[in-house]
Parts: sequence; structure tokens; C-alpha cells
Amino acid sequence: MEQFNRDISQLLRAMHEESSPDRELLWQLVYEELRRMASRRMISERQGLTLSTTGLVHEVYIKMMGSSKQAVNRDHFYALAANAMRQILIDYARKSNAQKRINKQNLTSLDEVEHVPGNKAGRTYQNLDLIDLNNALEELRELNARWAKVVEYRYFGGMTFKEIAVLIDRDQRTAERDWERARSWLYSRLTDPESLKTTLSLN
Amino acid sequence: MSVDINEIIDNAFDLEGIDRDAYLNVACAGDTHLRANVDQLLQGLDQSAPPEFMEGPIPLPNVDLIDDLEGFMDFPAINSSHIIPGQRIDAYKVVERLGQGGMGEVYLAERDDGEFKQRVAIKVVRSGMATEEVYKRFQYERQILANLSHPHIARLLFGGVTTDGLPYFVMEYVEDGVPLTEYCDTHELSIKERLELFKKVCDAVRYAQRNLVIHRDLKPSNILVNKDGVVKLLDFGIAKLLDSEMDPVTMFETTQHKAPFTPAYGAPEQVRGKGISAATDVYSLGMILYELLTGRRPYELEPGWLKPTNVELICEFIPTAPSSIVTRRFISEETGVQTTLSALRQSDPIRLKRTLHGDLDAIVMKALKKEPENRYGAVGELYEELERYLENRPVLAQNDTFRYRTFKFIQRKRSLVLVSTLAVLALVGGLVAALLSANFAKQEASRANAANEFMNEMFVAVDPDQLEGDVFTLQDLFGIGLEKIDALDSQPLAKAEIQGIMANGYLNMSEFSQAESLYSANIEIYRKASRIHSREFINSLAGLGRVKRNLDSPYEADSLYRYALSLSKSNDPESILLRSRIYSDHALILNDIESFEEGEEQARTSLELANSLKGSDLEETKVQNQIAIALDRISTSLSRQRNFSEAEDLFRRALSIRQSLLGESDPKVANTMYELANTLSSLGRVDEAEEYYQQALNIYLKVYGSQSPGAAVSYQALGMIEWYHRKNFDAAYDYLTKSLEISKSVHGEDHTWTGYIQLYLAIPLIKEGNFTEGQHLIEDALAIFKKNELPVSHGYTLSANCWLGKVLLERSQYAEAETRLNTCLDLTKSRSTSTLKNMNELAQNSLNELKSIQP
Repeated sequence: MEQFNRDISQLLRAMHEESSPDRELLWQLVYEELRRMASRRMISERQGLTLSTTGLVHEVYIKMMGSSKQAVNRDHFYALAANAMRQILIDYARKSNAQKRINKQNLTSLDEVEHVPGNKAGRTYQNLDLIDLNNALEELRELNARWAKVVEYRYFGGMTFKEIAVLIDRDQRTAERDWERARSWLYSRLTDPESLKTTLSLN
Repeated sequence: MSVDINEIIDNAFDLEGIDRDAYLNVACAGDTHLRANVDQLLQGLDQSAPPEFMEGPIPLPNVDLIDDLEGFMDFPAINSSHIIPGQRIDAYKVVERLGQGGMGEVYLAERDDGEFKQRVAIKVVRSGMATEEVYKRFQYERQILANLSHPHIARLLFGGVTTDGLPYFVMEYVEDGVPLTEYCDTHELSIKERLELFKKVCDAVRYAQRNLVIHRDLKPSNILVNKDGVVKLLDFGIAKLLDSEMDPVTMFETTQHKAPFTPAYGAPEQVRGKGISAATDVYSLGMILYELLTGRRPYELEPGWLKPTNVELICEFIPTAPSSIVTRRFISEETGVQTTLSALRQSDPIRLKRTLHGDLDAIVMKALKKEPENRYGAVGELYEELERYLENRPVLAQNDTFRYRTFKFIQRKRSLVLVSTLAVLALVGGLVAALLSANFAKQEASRANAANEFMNEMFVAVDPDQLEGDVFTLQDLFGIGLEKIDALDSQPLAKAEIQGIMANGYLNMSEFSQAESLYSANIEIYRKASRIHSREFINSLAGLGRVKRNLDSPYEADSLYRYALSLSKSNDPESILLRSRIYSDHALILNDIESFEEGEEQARTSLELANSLKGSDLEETKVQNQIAIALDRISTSLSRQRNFSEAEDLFRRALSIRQSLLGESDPKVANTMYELANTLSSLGRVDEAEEYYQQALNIYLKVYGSQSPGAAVSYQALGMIEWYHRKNFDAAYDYLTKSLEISKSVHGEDHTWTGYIQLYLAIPLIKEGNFTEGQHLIEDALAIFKKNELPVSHGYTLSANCWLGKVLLERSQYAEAETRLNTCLDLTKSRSTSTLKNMNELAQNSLNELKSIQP
């Protein structure tokens, strides 16, 4: 494992320095790690998801390699991977919603899919809409960037608090507390979006 | 200067209402934007989220990802059909499908060129799985197999590509192969036979590891035994080459819908996705060995390999020792299960427990250590360990538990706990008692201070940080004491006191020579100071007596006790107690030198003295303890005089006193149990006796580790029971050799007890017809007895001579046999103990036999 950590950092560095980085080798090294991150988050009884995990890992890799942001070390790599995973999932969620809309348009009248304010209050975490969550997360990022990062690493990156603590340069307890608070905040935001807006406008 | 919003939230979080408002006004210092953010964040924290919120898996969007990914993955699309029976692959005709692995399918095929039939197994890439990764993986397995040529690994014959473009390779087919565990059960193999077979499996894996291959998927169904009983290891499908920088398995894992290993036998590092090493195979083999020995797996996993409960079982649950599980009754099971499982191993639950207890437990548990670095480093080490076990040599894993559990070794972190419990009791306790004792006088103050300072220094010296990574023991502590004791030269009496305490400590740790020199030095100091009537001096004489007994100088011990008793005249309770103790110690030595009547007399005096202390100033427990000791000694003497029923009665009284005073697992309780067992054995109540021997042994092992005089005699007794009553030579031999080894290391090669144990190892050997080894052992024992000046009339010498006569007779050395047998006959004529009566009989019978051969 230590070996792996060193190798990945070295390779990442080499990628910046050399004109023809050994992407194949890096791929082999990071694959296991990415897969681990993805599978931690994607375990599900639903069929097809394991394959999706593979797909996700491939996509994360492509996204990272093509990105203008290049990982400079192992920790940075994880942060970028978590970010990439989130973006990909959100892209798919958008696509999915679009698909649903098309389907619904074909079948039902418009008012049935119209958004009814407040109807989200009663819904449970199981029906968590990734796009809503992502929007709320972006709002949170404006208010407290560190909490948002912790959510990204934890929820989308599947990292442990120990790993997160290193990335945010705080101790593990702080990482855990940030996660707890961010979770509460996001929950309030998603279940009762109006109340928070009110506070904002009062100011 | 930037303000940390998290700091503000931390502080504000615990405040309420106006307080919070006031704080925020100050903290945000008019920064309205910051204040707005803080308010918004705090607002969202009013209620906490349900625990499940965002903690589960991410709800994946309902898009067909697979469609999207097809283009991306861009692997060679190979359109293939299933292999069907009758289809030809190279020169072979497919007969049937044998099974399906992660990436390939295995078919049975045969060569049908008329001349001879060769059956092979053909592994073909699964259709639809023919991705680049799978190809790589497949080539990898082929490469691994090509490099392995071992009688217990299914051979690779050759490989190729089918007409459909599917890669395949042809392997040796294991005719009528059944999984290892199934084979052992259908053939009802004994533990020893199972171990022999398992050793072959280890040999194969060891060979693979020497070729830098880690199998990673060892399980009974990958280890087949053919109809001739030959083991074949298969399926290197997810094996890993250690020196290869690429490991296609990691890529392969993700394309398959399951983990690449079967978790029931997988190691913690496999579940955690941590580094795989040779020790990973050791773990899986440990799991298999556990199942072979007990018929059960160390833990049962639920379906769904990554379930948290499963991961926890694999990574956290410490399995029950094999010997414990075989007699355990599971509520969910019917009562006969243990009996059935042990019958499949040619045993019964109790015997099986005995077989597994000790070495095999230790071996299995070491292989199953959660941390790879605590297991056998490679399968080769496990192999050698099994070899040692099968050859009755000491196994390394036992040393391991010895180090863990015995002599009360403790991890560094807990060393201070040890010091405070044991050392304080043994050392400081003694000092404090001295300081507080009634005769604490002014002139003693400087002595006490010096001693106190010395103790302090000793404790400073054992700063745990200086023992980083090491274990810390009482020996360490005492070693430091020995180094520093010369600093007390100017305070001879303080020095003598410390010497006495430390000598007692060494005596308790069976470090007799250290104890001897300390006691001698301390006696010398007291003598020079003309304090020969002091309790300390008398106490040291008695201590030295104990040491002498253990160093096999019973007559010296006898003199020391008589001298001590002649000096002890005071009638204060402490002195009476000491006197009572010396009487009982003297009784012990008198029993050793077979003066049973005087032994009984001394022990009864001891009891009388102890009884007189009831209601005195002394602590009740001290008095009760001494009463128990005296009872114990009387019973020993009675027992040696063949008055077993009274002996049993007194032993039981002693035992119950000791148990209530000292708890269940004190070595003194064990001593009484051992003696009681001897008596019960003499009364013919073997099962009861065995139970007590076993209990005593367990206590000795728990308290002292594998090396102690108590363990030696207990093993010896258990061996004798196995031999005389159960007629189980193998078990007897195991116990007796173990006993002999311990005795050699605890008492020394030339100790009388070592000779005694050697003698009783020889007897079963002789009865089994192994005269060479038997004679050898007896002659050694006799040499030891002679060296220690044991009289010819001593029971040990007599028995040895008698049996030697018998061996010589068997080996046709009639003249010498006759001389020895006649001497024995003479000397045993008027003796009353059962052993000697038996000897008399043996000598008589042997002589009769001799006469019939050589009239």
C-alpha cells in the first residue's frame, strides 16, 4: 500500500514533467483506488449497478486525464476524483431527468409534473434527488466551502474521515463534525427550502 | 485578517437566544455578509438529519449507463457461441461443462484418437467476457501455470485459440476429484492423516510461493483429491505474480459481478483491499485447516460478500480455538453433532479436544491472525511447523503463545499495570509490610529508607519509553534490581532485605540459581551481623531450603529446615506462622526422600501451629492459607503411605480452603489439585483424576506458560493415564515427551525429576517393544540418579533397575539382566508402596521368564 502511494505520487509528478506520460501504468495503479472509492458509494442490490461502477471509474479517469486540473499528489488526486465522480453522477442525473420528462410528456398532461412547492418536505432520503442535492451543495459551498468539500469527499468520493481530515488539513474529529453539520444543513435545505431563504431575505 | 467561519459556528453552536446573538454581533464585527452566512448555516443546524440521510449508497440515476459506456470501453467485440458437448477443441472432444469461473468456463474433454483415452480439463474464456482485460488476465494465468510444475498442482498442457477466436488452455484433469474436506470426511481420516494430506497442500502452495506466485483463492473446492488419494491444487485464475509490476486482477475484479475471491476463506486484507502477500495464502490455509480439524469454519458468512457484518467477522472476529469448538454445544444443533464430527476423525469429542489442545490450536490460531505480519510469513513456514508437529518437535507457534501468555508478559503499554499489580505486591508490598511491622524501630529507619530509595530507582529505570516495542517482564525488573543492588553496600541490612525479596521473586519464577546466590549472600550478611535468631534469617534459611529442593539437593534442604527449626523459638504469631510454614516445607522434603512417617509428623505439627493462630492478630487469610498447606502435606504423606481415603478427604479440605482464598486459578490451587489427582488415581478413580490433572495443568500453563515444573508433572501424569488406563500409546508418548522436554529446560538435563520422567517415558516404549530407545532412556535416567547420589533402595533407582533388567532380558543379555533383577527383588521384598510392589512382581516374573529360557 505504501508502495502504491509512493508510486502514484511519482507518476502524477512525472505526468507534468514528461511529454509522454505512461498513462497505461498510471491507469493500472489508480484503477484499484478509484474502484474502491466508487464501490464504497455504489453498493446496491439493484441490478446493473456493479457494471455502472466500472463505467463510473472509467469515466472518472477520462475526466481527470482530460481535465486542465492535474493532480499534483496523491491527496489532490483523491480530491479531484471525488469531484469528478460527483460531476459525472450529476450529468447522468440530468440526462435521466430529461429522459423522464420526455417520457412523461408523451404520457401525461403538463400539470401533473408541475413542481408543487413543499411536496419535498415529506419525502425521505431514499428519494433523494441528486440534482437537488447538488444545488443545495453548491449553495452550501458559497456559505462554507469546507463543509461542501467534506460532503464531496465523503458522499461522492467515499473516503474515510481519516482521509478527509488530511485533505482539509484538520483532525479527524473536525472532519466528522463538519460532515454531521453539513448533513444537517443539507437536510434542512432539502426538506424545507423556504425557511432558509426567509432568513436570507430578512437580512 | 480573515475570520474562520467554522470557529464562529463552533462557538455559537452551544449558545442560545440572546447570548448567541450577542456573541455573533461581536464575532462578525459588522460584517453583514459574514453574519448572513453564519445565520444561514446555523439555521440549518436546528434539527439534525436522520441518521440514514446521505449515509446510504448514492441513488444512481436511472439512465442506462451500459449503453453509454459501450463506445467508451471500446474493447474488441468478439462474437462467440457457447461451447457445446461434442464440439472439438484441438484434438479434444468436449464432454461436458465442469464449472464456471469468473472469466472462464471449464470443460471436460477427451482425446479420441482410438489408441488411448486422455481426459483433460479445458478452460475457455467465457463468451461475452472476451475483453482486453480478460485476455490479459487469461494469458497471465497461463503464464503462471506454465511456470509451475509440481506433483500437487494440476499441470498446464498447452493453450491456443478456438475457431471462434476464444483463448483456451488445456490442463490436467483430476479424475474423480473431490474437494479436500469432503475427501477427508468420506474416508474418515484421523487428525494425523488429515494433517499429512494438508501438508501436501501446503507443499504445493509453498512451491508456488517460491516461484513468486500467490494463489489468493485457496478453498477446499480448489483443492481436489483424486481417487488415488493424490492432492491437486487448481485454479490459479486470480493468482498474482509477485515480481510482475502489473496485476490484471484488479482490473478484472471490476468487470466481474463478484469479488475475485471467495470470502469464506478470504483474509482480512483481501476484504479491505489492502496489500496481498504470501501471508494471505497462509490465512486461507488456516481457515481450511480449521475446518479439516474441527468440521466447522471459524465463522460463517452471510451471502453478499461485502456486507458489513461479514467484513466485521473477517476483520475483527477472533475465532474460537479448535479444541474449544469441538466440545461446544450449539443451541441450534442437535446434541449428537460433536460426536458425529469427531467420529469422522476417528475420535470422540473429549479425545479430539485433547488432540487439538496446545500445538494444533496454536498453529491454527497463528495462521488466522488478523494482521498478516503476525501469521506465518509464508506457506513454507506453515509447512515446516506442521512437520515439526508431526515429528513431535516443539512448534514455533507455542513459543509465540508462551511469549504472549506466560510469565505474565505484557505489552509495553500495559507494563505499568504489571508493575503496579505484581511488583508492588511482590516488592513494595514486602517493604511496606516491613515498614509498618510492629518491630519497626528507630534504628531500622535508615535501613527502610535506603531500601525505599532503591525501589524508587528501580521503577525509574523501567521507564516504558526505554523499552519501546519490547515486552517488559518481572525478570527485567529484577535484572535491573540485580544491577543496582551493589549501591546498597554501605547499608548491609537493607541490602539483605532486598536480596531476600528478590530471591523469593526468582524462586517464584523458577529461576533457582539466581535465587540461590541471593539467599546465600543474604544469609551471609545476617550471620555476620549476628542476627541468626531474627525472623529474616530463619526465613532465608527456609527459602534456601526450597531452592535446594528445586535444585535437587533434598538432603541439604533437610538440614537447612532442621537448622531453621532449631533457631525458631519465639512465640509471637508471626514467628509461629513462619515455624508452621517451615514444618510443612520440611514435610515436603521428607516425602521427597521417602520418610513418609516423619513427613506426616512434621505436617501435623505444622497444622497444629497454624490452628493455634486462629483468632490471633494475624490476618485470617494467612492463617487459613497455612492450614491448607499443612493439610496438603499431611495428605501427601498419607497418600504415600497408601492411606488414600483419609488423604482424599484432607486434600479436598485443603483444596476448598485454597480455592476460596486464592481463587480458581492460583498455582497453589493447582498443586493441591495435582496431589488430589494422584490420590484419586491411586484409588482407581481415573476419570476424576484426569479431570483434576487437566485443571491443574491449565492453571500452570495460564500462570507460568509452557515451561514450569507443574506443567512437567501434569503432562507426565496425563501421559501415565493415557498409557496405563486408556492404552493409548500415541497420546501417552506425546504427553511424556512434552513433560521430558519441559523438565529438561526447567530443572536441567541432570535433575532427578528429569531422570524420573525419562524413566516413565521409557516404560511405555519398552511395553511397545521399542527396547533400544527404552534401554537408552533408562540408562540415562540411572546415570542421573547415580550422579545425584540417590540410594539404590530409592524407588526411582529400583524401578529403573527393574525395567532395565526386563529390557536386558528381552535383548538376550541374560547375565546382566539376572544380576539387576535379583537386586531389585531383594530390595523390593519388604516394600509397601504400590509401585514397588509392582516392581517386585515385575522382577519376579522376569526372573521366572529368564529361568525358563536359561535353566
